[in-house]
Amino acid sequence: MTELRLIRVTESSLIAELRKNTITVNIGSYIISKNPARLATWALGSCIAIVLFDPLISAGSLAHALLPQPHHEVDSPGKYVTTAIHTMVRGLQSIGASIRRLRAVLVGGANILDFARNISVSTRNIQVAREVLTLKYGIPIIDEDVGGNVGRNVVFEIGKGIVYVWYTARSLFGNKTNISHGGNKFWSVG
Amino acid sequence: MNNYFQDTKELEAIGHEALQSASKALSKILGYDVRIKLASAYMLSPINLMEVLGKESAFDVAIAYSKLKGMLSGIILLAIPLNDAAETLKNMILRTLGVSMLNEEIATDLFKEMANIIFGAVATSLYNKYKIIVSYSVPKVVIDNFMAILDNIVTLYIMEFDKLVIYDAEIVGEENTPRIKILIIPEEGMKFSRSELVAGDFQ
Repeated sequence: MTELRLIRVTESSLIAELRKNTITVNIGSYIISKNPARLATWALGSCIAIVLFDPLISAGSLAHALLPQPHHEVDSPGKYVTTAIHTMVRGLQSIGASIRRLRAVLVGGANILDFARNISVSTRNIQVAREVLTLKYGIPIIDEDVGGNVGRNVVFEIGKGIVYVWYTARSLFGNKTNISHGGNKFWSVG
Repeated sequence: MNNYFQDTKELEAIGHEALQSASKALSKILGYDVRIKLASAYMLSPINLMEVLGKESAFDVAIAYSKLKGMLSGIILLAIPLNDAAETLKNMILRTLGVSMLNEEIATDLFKEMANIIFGAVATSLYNKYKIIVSYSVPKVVIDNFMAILDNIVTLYIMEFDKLVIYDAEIVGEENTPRIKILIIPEEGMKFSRSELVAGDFQ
């Protein structure tokens, strides 16, 4: 049985390899899969990535949630931590996963820009995810890479039960851990 | 909650005016002429910000940002692709101080100063032309992935604003010089200025 684990990556060649053949989970959404898919979500700032995994049947799910909980009607369940976890758990159960076997990893919740409101959202995202997973569903959080002031990328290899995490750039002169596009094609708008 | 700028053309005009003087200031410190390219204002839902601005995702940037206060509150942000930032700052220090040594600390300070000059030019222009009084906080510098920064901005606004109005401009120079992006995201404070402007200040 493959156990869920988190690996922090710094090596550029491995990062380049991990970027290949991924299925991207967009902001405010989630994907559930029983296949050995490679799910990815990029550039997490104050948002939080929630990973759920059933090791027995190798089924997993990755969400990129923006906010702790909805204040009005739920326009999209993946947008909020509470509704994302609920929908992921139900979805995994529907393909044969057991809630007793589910394990979780949390990534993100950073405060890149120094605004008080940001701190409150990122911190609440982490707190609410922990509370809902452990208290409401009894799902153990195996590992987490949360908080701080740096962006993160996540690749979840369902077939291996591995969550790869690497940080985005932090320095004007090197110390980059991610792959940048070159040239002057950056600011394409619209 | 609605933002003030229902007509984005108005913000476009104000932003363009402000950036004209910012471009002049920037030309002086960079040592070559720069001009405004692709300046526009548009309205969008906060969650669509990443989709619209981050289409070429996963690239790294150096950004300097300040909070705007006064009749125009919100954020002003200056961004340079990281691949170009160090070289641009090296040229700047060579030109202004005649030295080519540049470490992380000096480069960061220099980038803050560059932002300070541009934001100052914007604030001055807003007052001179439209009598919009605006102050800005001391610029802070962040090096990160542009999408991760946008992610932070999205969560900053998504709970309070259904729609955001964004002034989005790019300043370019000669060939092979970096493209410098400037974003101004006004908050509700502009609503206040609207009443002021309607009272007769808006020219």
